[in-house]
Amino acid sequence: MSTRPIRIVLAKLGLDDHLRALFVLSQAFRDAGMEVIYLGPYQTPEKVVAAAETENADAIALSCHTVSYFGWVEETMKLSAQRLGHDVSVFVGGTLPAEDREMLEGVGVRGVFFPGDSLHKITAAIVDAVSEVRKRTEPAPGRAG
Amino acid sequence: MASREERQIKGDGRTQSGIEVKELYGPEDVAELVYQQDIGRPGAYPFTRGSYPRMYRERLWVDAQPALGGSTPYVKEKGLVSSQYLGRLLSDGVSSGGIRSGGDYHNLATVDPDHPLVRYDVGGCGGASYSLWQMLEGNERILPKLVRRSLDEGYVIEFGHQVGTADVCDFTRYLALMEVQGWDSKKFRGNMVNDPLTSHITGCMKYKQPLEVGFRVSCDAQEYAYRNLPLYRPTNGGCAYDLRESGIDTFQELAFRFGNFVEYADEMVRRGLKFEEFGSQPAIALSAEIDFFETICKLRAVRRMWARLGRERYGADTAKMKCPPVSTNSAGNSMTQQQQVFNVVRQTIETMASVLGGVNGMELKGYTEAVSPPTTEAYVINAGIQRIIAAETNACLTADPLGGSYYVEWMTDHIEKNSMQLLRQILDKGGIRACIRSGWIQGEVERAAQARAKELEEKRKIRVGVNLYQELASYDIPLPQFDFARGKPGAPYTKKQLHDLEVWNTFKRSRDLDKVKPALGNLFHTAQRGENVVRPMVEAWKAYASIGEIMGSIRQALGFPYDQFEMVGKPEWLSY
Repeated sequence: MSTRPIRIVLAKLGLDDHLRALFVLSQAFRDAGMEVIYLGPYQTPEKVVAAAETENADAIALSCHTVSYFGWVEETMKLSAQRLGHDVSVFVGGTLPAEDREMLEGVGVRGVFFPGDSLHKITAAIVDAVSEVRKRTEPAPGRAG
Repeated sequence: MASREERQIKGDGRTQSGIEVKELYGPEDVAELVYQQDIGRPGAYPFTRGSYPRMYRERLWVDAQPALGGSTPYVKEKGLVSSQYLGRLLSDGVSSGGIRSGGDYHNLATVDPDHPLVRYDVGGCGGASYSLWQMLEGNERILPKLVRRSLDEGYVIEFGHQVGTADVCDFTRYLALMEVQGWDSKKFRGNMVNDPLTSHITGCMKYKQPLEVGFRVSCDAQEYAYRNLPLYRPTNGGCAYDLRESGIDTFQELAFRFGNFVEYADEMVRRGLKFEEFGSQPAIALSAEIDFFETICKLRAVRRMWARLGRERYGADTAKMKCPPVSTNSAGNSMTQQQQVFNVVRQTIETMASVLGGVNGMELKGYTEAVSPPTTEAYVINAGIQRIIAAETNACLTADPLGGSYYVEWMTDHIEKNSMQLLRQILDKGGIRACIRSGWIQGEVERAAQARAKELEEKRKIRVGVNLYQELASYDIPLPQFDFARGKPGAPYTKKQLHDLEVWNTFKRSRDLDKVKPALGNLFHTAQRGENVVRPMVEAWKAYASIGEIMGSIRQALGFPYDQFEMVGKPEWLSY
């Protein structure tokens, strides 16, 4: 399995621009050795998925702080499945009602994070998920050919 | 709390803003302070001890809980805000704040609800709100009744968007309503945040509105109100609460706030107004943080800072100075999703700090703040907190009860001096707008947000139930939660959102474009000539122009794209 750094797209969708989490997460991801493709706010599912594709990202992190977030996430998941398959893991976090976890996992979101979750917990979950995908999709070193 | 370890102070032993605190304070710590010059009596320069001479004996603070969130409120989905319910909140005194209008996302961004970046966000924060037609013929017909009531009974009408342009859009739309109804706008009592600079500092609610557009429209509205509307406070001169929520510390909160204030005040002076004519109008709105003494001392320091700035920068006569009211919002960032009943305690402490700091108005967040707007129950609890403090604790009997405490006077002075020093640095760099253009101030905010998160992660700062005493959060103490109507798999829009879009289409069909076009043309040319845009904005509302068309025309007139997101063009029928 490759040890290259995890590449992660970090974005907010639509008109939600509560940015504090983006500032905090971009630093936390970098501290954890990841390469951050920072799109910032005012993104659309098309732009996020296109960025993940052209940047060869392993993961997408969506920060959500509005009541209308689900439509955006669902559209992103559909587009991501069509264009990127299931090897790019999508994570969603923010001020979300706890009962929404099931609904998000149901549309394929790999990890859901809530207020109070530690940065360590978030980065560890992303590392685990990406490692799992890489184990599955990349040949073990030495066995290739 | 039995063990020795349990009984030790938690965290890094500094205040929230990193102030080093000694074990004990004495006369030597305040030896340099001169009573008349640095502290004085309440209601007199430098206002350290309060805005009014008799403080709460004269009048208690305004409980400015939002009684109406959004023009067709989100709370309506749960059936909370009918006109009867709003009436009850006001009559019972659960809110004395009057009408508080928050904006839907498209409204904050000043684009129309069918803009492609609005999509699922339509109606997501109050209900799509874009025209005078809605107030007169559409789905906001409750608003004229409320406005009439506020004019009759003296309730405040408040626009709390922070985004200057969105506030000014609502402000001019309400002016248009009053004029169409034949009501006297001189009786228009209210206020708006109207501080576009804060959006550019924090990035939150910026919506790519060009700085030049935001500043111009904001200042036009300020000037118009100072000259024409005696009861209106057209800006809070710097939305310190929103600044603070970005993660900055107390010194930055005050310095950035006054940095914004100076930008607006200098512009008003440039336009020929005297400081005495407007300097006391912007109410000072700060954050009531969970750090008890830091909050109290900040509230004392902010009045002194305002007074000294007025004297030193604008040459105001200290004998004639009238201190603006100071208000707080309880700190949203202090509220936790874990064990939400603890948030009631946090709010109580923040309210008490506000009272001891001598505030004149307060808006409390709900215990649900970490996940949602307040529930009805949260409103009632918030009203209870304030009334218990006002009626039971006897904390309001004397002005500035902590004045003279060695610690409180030392910290007040420390906060004022350090904030003033930072403000001077900002002014030396050319002021807030220059600091925004260079990106320096955004960098400060970003670093602050990261530092706050790290402090919690490393337990240098504590949130009970989150990073310490987590076991307390494991007890199940259920509280009523806000019942969101929200998108579900396969049905991303709620019924109300779909209805909002239907109403939007009805609006577009039912207006006369031959009236809209010349009104927008007049707005465009007035903006291009550099004249005040308030009057042509009012006329454009009356002609049933939409918010996106009004702001799009101003953006184009000032040399920017019609749509700041550059996703849609100017409507085909529109020519200037």
